[in-house]
Amino acid sequence: MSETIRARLPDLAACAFLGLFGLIAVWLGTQYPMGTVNHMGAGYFPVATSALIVVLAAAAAWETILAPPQARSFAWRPMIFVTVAILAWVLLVDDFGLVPATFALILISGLAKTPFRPISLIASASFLCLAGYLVFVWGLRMPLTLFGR
Amino acid sequence: MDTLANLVLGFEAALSWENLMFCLVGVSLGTFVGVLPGIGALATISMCLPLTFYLEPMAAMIMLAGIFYGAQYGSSTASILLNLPGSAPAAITCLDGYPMAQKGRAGVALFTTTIASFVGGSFSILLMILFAPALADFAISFSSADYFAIMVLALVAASTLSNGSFIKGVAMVAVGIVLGLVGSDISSGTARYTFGVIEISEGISLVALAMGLFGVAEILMNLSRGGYAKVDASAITMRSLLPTKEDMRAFWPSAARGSVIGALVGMLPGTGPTIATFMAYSAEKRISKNPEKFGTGVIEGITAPEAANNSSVQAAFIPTLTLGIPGDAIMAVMLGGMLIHGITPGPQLINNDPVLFWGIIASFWIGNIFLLVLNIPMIGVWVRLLTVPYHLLYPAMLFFICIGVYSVNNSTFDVLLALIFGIIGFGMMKFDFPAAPLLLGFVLGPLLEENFRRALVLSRGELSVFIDRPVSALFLGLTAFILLASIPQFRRLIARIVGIRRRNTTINE
Repeated sequence: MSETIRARLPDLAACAFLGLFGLIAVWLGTQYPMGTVNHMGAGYFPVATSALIVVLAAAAAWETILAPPQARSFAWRPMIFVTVAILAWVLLVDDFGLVPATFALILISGLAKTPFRPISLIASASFLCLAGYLVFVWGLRMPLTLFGR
Repeated sequence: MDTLANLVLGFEAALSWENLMFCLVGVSLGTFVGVLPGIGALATISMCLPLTFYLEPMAAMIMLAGIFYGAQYGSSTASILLNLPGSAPAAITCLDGYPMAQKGRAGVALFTTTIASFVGGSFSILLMILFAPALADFAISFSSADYFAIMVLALVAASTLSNGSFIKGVAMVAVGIVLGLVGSDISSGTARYTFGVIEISEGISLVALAMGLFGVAEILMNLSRGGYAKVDASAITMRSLLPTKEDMRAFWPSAARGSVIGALVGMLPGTGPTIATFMAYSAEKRISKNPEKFGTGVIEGITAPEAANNSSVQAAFIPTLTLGIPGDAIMAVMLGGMLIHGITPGPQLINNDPVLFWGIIASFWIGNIFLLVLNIPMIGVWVRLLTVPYHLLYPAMLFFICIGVYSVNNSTFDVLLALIFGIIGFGMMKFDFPAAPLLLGFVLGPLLEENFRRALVLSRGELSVFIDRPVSALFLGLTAFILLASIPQFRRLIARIVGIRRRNTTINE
């Protein structure tokens, strides 16, 4: 692997990902009826647009190789904790209710930023549960429970 | 006069207690999120969109629009005090706003930007009242080919005029279009890109997509950057707000120029307030007698962009309401919101539902007055908002994103989608793929396909229909020009031709 490519590997991977998205969309699009120009089927427009994505992904990769390499740093901590926090809310809210889901969301997402401040986060979660209950459950009659059914 | 009578009708509707209240709620909420860096009008509007399902369509639109222009008022606060823009268009206000604050003139800067915002907003509202009916009348004769051409221009302009790579911008538009096509095809009923998942059989939720790309992704980005610093709020007193006579002398001409530039840019498809503020600032610098002072805290450097900002925001409603074609991502979400409420914006709206159309416009002006009279006494309160630490703010924002997305269909699937789009959006930001063109493509995608199909059915497959019609040919020509202008070699060629001509004129003189 040449130095040109190695220095730009993350950027080129992003372009490859885009190209892959386009290719899959083209392939799926060809499964739908294509029709003709004066009577287009369901597949015509998606295939044309996705093919454009593939071309542009290649052009973006070419552009990356011509441009000076960019330094890309990546912080995993926020991404991991925010992802886990939202997943926890999604898994808890229907069966266990708004309160456990919200406490899990706030406390886990609080870990994304150091230092971890449990006391102010618990206070914030309590306040948000109350506000969420008043606005969404009491005010808008959303079918949410506080502690599950 | 017809317009006047309609306007009175609009004010009557907008002045009902309910609408006044939602206008106030909208502009206050808008200012609130505008002041806070890291949460923008787009994320807030998408968060509130499900809440407005319970309201009358008019109250809902009044409130959502209020959030939009209220946020523009608020966004200069953080630029001035923290050197950190509350939203992208306010970035330019940092250049002279922050130096003013460092010189102890933060109060004056906050006061004049509020007035400038009001001037800009009022100018475009007036423009809208005068020209929207005429534009709508003209647009009634537009065919599918014309609509297709205007949308293509909007999409190409949105992806090229923003910062960064034009290839990446257009690619994101195309990705947005494909995501917009998910669900059943309007004309044949074929399920496209649904993978048999019931939850997306009617399409991807706009709220989930917008919240992911602009809510979750923004939080991830801010966290990986490490939040922002605190401000000292005690320095902003009522007395410190008052501008001097020299300030006021510089204020009016620059605010007027900013308003005009903002209105012109705002009306065009594909251009947003960010471009308007940059253009207003550079124009102001170019005509100034002492351009070297820009960047050291001159008042023209904040009033012109702020006037342009609000003027362009109000003007952006002109194409959205009269043509049904949104100019930027926020307008795209507003359009999505209108469609959900059963309002179809377009040339017919003004005649079919004059009360709604004029009521919304009347509410803009009422909202701007609210912002003016509320914000000046409340500047101190808004400034204190910036003392809320980020470690409490972002978990609360995540909570509102989760419950907001959930409330659209009472589905946790949509929340998962928002998370996935958030991670993708974060990756896009990291690698300089812009998210706003994607959202615009998402909303315009189905409309683009429908008009493209219809135009070719009517012309029996003749592609020449797009250049035979004058409106369509004009817009496609403009699109071609923008595309060519984004190629560096072509730009150099134009520069050389212009350069030769300029040299010739100097010789002749």
